[in-house]
Amino acid sequence: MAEEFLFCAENLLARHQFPDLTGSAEEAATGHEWWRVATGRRHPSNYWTPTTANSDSYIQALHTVPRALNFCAIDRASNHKGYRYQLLLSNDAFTTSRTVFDVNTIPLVSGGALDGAMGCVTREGAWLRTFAADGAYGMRLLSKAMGSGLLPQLTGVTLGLAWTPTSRVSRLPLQDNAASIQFTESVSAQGYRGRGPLARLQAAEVTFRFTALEGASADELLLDYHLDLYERGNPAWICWRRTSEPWKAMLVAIPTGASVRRIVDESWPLRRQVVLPYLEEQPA
Amino acid sequence: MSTPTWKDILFASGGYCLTRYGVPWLRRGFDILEPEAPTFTRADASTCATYVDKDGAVRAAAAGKLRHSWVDADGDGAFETPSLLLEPSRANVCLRSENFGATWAAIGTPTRSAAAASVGAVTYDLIGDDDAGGVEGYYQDVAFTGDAVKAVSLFIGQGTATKMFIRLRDESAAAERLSVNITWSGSVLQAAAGVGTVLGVVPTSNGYRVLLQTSSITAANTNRLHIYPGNDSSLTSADTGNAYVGGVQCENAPFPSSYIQTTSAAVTRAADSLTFPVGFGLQDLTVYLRMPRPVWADASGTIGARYAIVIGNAAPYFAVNGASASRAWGVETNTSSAGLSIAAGATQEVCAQVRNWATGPEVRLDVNSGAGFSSWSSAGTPVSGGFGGNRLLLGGSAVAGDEFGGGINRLLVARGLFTLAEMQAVDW
Repeated sequence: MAEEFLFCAENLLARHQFPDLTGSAEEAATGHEWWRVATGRRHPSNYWTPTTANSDSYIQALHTVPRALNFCAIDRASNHKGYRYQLLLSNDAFTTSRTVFDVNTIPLVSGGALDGAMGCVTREGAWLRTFAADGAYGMRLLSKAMGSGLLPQLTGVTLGLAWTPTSRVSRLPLQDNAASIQFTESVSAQGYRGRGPLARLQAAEVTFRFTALEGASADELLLDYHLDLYERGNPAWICWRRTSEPWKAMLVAIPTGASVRRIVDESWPLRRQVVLPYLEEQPA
Repeated sequence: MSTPTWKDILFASGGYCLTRYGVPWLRRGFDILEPEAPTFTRADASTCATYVDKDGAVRAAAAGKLRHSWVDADGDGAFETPSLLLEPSRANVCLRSENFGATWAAIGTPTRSAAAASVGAVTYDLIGDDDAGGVEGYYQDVAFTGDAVKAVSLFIGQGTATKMFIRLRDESAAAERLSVNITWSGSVLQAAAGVGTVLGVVPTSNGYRVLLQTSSITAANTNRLHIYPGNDSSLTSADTGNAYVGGVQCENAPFPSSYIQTTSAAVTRAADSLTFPVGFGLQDLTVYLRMPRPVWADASGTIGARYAIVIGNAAPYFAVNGASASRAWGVETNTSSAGLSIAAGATQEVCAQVRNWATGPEVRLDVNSGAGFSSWSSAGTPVSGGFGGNRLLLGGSAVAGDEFGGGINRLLVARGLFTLAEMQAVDW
């Protein structure tokens, strides 16, 4: 069912998406500034970390207009598992704030539920959590003190309003486990083949058909926004089955040379289709 | 006509728009410049504006920040209805709004536990009457300006007392301008006014906010606000008990607004002003609004024109407002108008139409009372071109003081003429 799908290319911490935002961290070590969590790079050396161990620390963004969010992701290669994280919203630069969630211990093993109290850990170790949408000017991800000598290291954080289609959207058959094998290969004159390290990336297309009789439905409006971001090269979190297999969610990007195909079916009843190609982004 | 589709929708906003689309305006795609972004101002001298968050707690909003406030519209204890809170400038003239230990004078020797509880940013003192031989409480002489009905509000949490009494007494004339008995049905607060009006009892995540309107006062007289935590209006000596009380507010206005904390002096919250650029011109339009019932809907006295939306910050314009004297929803252009009585119920819906700008604009509206559209107004003066300033004002007009005074959950502006049912059915 299409209602099981989730797609989020928006990141309220990304300066290239929101040039007017004012981002900051409670502390940041040299070369590990707050903004590194929203660059889309998944390398273990690209992370934010404070300087004081065993202390509450945070990254935050203050926007110039109120923005809503319902999705939080902490990417793999962060040292988040087993520790406590909170998400707070504020309209007075965090003089006061509302706690959206307070996860006492992010699970160590994959599984869980996206909207559950503990969130969901994916197969590659990222942590995802959805929650009821709320809006504010400021959003803060707070890492509680981790223990003696320990510092949080966050390689990637996504905060945004994810697209989760309603029952007005149907999804055509999906290849959710299709893979693209990538490697470099050289062939000698004798026909001997040598291959470099092999990377297995998940790659496929997902197709949506909107059941609105004509014109854009409400589902399309938010999807168009995410697709605009996606087609500009922003990675996106994708999850095919939010309730039954949330741990299969992954971070994807638009394949080189590909584009999102938007098809208007002019036959009666009028419908639109969106064909969304994806390629797993920087697999582990 | 059938239900408008999104190709018919020219503009959308409201608290629901923010949670549904991520921003409080109709965003059709990603544009890094965000040209449709609103202009919002609230020139508070300090952080004093408050709103209710999704958990039902009172939070503060800094100056210049649009408040996204949540309402429990269906009374189930969950704050499920988001709204953009847009209010006129107001001052809380009750001092020490959360501290009965200063400025307030004791009646007898009441007990007091300072800052004993809280509901978000509002702290409660636990005040009590422990004297079975006397009546105890607190009072403060409030410096109102202007002879008129006034607004009083406060937060109350259940303590040991089964009853509580609040009154505003004109000590000079020996007359009560407000007399309200508070009782508890289980854990549910109930308020009954003998003098004045109870405009609302609003649940929060910890206690209730009680919204009151006095009868007309004489500002030059001594107007004394009494709070008796363990008695009712009979002021029986034997009655005792305590209650959590905080966030006391008195305003020179006919209805309460959102809470403003005070310490040693009155504090003024500036007016909200929210405008959007619009690219559509004069044409047949339908405006749909959905709002929690504004507190002024049941207030007495002159409330002024409370504008929910004005398309055009100068003539020609098209507007929907709460009418001043008749407690009705009104629709108007600069040369034509129509109105309908405010419907019963916690949620208000208004569907306003305008047509025939070129031959003389006519307007009419429908509200969620089941009565259908009003009659078309008489035709106004013919006009063509664009709306004044090509701007849409949400929750106010170009005239200071006309701000809506409540929250707006949904706004849709559609090209063409649609019914209330058709606008309610818009897919979003």
